[in-house]
Amino acid sequence: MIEQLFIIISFAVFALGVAGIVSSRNIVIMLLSTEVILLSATLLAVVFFNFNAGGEILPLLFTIWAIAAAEAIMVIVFYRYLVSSKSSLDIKVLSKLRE
Amino acid sequence: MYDITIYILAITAIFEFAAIAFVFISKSLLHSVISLTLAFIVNSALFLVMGQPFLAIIQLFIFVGGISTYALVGVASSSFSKFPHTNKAAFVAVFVIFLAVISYPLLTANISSIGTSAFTPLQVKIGITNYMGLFYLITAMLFGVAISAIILFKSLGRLK
Repeated sequence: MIEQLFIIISFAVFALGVAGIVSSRNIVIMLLSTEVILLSATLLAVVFFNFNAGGEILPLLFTIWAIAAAEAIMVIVFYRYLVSSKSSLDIKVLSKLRE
Repeated sequence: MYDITIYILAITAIFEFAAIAFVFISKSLLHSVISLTLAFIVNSALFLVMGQPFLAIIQLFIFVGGISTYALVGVASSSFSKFPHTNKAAFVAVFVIFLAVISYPLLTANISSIGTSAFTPLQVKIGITNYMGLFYLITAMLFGVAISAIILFKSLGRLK
């Protein structure tokens, strides 16, 4: 079935996002890869909307969109704060700030 | 029956993977955000292939119009020259292993048990219409204007 191709594409996008979080040390890139994961979630939700979901999946889709929009604001707030405070974007340096 | 759909799907999927991979390969945060925006546009094109033009427009409005513009302006307004880059070998390794692990159950799964699929080859004709092409044309124009504005302001900043 062609839906399986769409699901595999959304899985691949999800895997790209997870690989981005795991392999990156830059906090902005990590947060952008969270956006990629949310992108794959929207794709998967629309794939299941094509089945006889009867609109039940739409609230989930709108929730994902809202979370993605809120997360973009968080990315820029973090980035602007780190730039203005002249601290590093390296997650290893940032993790030492709590100590 | 699904020939054209599969070709369109393959092309859009390759563009999407390339755009997302460039987010992590790029050495500039601005380039990462631009390629992420391209990934958002291609993802909404995938909605069109599925025959959901309304959801594709909303995706375009929220992700490209809202999130990408905000991220583009935020990242372009200041530049960090020194920051750690992605470990490319680890990126590829984690991607392949994780994709294999999560896709393996799908090979034996029977998706049709979830419900009756509304997907037909005609869905593509419902999705890809002339008025949707206008939306994507406007998106491309505004996206080009935004990038041109950033380049212009960066060069003006250099002149000072």
